[in-house]
Amino acid sequence: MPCHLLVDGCKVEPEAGAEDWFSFRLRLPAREIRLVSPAGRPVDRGQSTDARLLGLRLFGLSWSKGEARFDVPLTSLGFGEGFHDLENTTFRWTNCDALLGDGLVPDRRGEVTLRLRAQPLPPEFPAADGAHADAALLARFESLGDDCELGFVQRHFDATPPLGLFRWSGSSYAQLLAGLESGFDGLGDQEQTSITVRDGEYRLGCAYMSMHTFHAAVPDTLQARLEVLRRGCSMLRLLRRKLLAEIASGRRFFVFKSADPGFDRAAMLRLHAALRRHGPAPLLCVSLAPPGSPAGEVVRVMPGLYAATVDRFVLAEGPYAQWRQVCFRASQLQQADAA
Amino acid sequence: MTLPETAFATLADLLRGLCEDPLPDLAPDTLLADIPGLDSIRLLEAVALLEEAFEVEIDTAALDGLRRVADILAAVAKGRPQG
Repeated sequence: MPCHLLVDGCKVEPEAGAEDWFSFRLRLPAREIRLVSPAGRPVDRGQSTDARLLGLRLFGLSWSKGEARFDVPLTSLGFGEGFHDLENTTFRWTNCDALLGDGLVPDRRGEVTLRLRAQPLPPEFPAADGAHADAALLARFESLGDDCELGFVQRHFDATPPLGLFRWSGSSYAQLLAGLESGFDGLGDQEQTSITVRDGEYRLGCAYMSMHTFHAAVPDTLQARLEVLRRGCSMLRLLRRKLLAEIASGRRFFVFKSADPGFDRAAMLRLHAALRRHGPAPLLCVSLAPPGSPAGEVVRVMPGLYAATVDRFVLAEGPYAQWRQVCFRASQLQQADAA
Repeated sequence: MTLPETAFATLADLLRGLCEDPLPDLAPDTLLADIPGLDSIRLLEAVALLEEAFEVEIDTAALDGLRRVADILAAVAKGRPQG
């Protein structure tokens, strides 16, 4: 099939229909509806400079429930994540993994039908080899700290890292554990947050992490520090709320990596228990494979908790294939557990 | 001014303060990616400050889907009053 839906993580295939029309039956409300398809880049064909990742060319989108029908205009501002801009006022491309967000889904309950008029990527643009699947897979994962290696892995596979609390932060196991066990109590309080200058940039620090601000400390004045601190603390409070909501929703797969040999099964279990205080989100713990042991393997420690190894951690030059493998395998195990 | 108009004006002021590059004329359909100097972290700062200005809490699930100025305004309009 040229496309399918992921409704709260469950695959929904289109029913048979006329050419260019795809009909899906699903139930609303749903937490998340994604439109997934193969994708490719015209530039790879050598006949275009278009480097966008293109999946489906969407000409129309409508919902029906009984006799009622709701058409969504292609000009709707609800077309966000995963949709390219409107072209020729008649169509817009998806990438491989587009979100049907609030503005595109009717406020109805019960069984509905979604109809799409769309064309898959033309055959003269062969689908990138697994690119769509890799990006969709990696986009679900969110770092819980240590450093930003997972973000490099996600960008390598064209997945956008989620806007998460640890996207720009470094944290140790002990800091993360303290945060999860306390619900990140006090995060974003100015009295509990420090601001320092490192490498010409303001950085925020607290009991749970240290964080880049990407605000240059030039000139470094008291007024500038106080302003960056105020803004940063507001953002930290927003990101704390988001993290706890994501854990509660279970839609993200959280990742903690550590090169510490002391990061053992007991430490993983404790971290998982702390995470579970806030919701059912699964946790993938990644550590270094012991010498002589194979890397890229994943084991189920318990349902919702998975342990994986890679042979090295190298920021920005990470063992990308191993990361893809462990994320893929962990997803398989987690889906089997969820079923 | 209505809430959306007030929010738009406040957001524009916030972005002018946060982005170090001169801003183009903003409109609801302006792509966030087209705003010079607006990276992800500044976008989050702007949203957080907008929440404070209007004393609302937005649905954080909307954050990863923000693409245009209007998406931010819609998220704020649908926000819950701060507890």
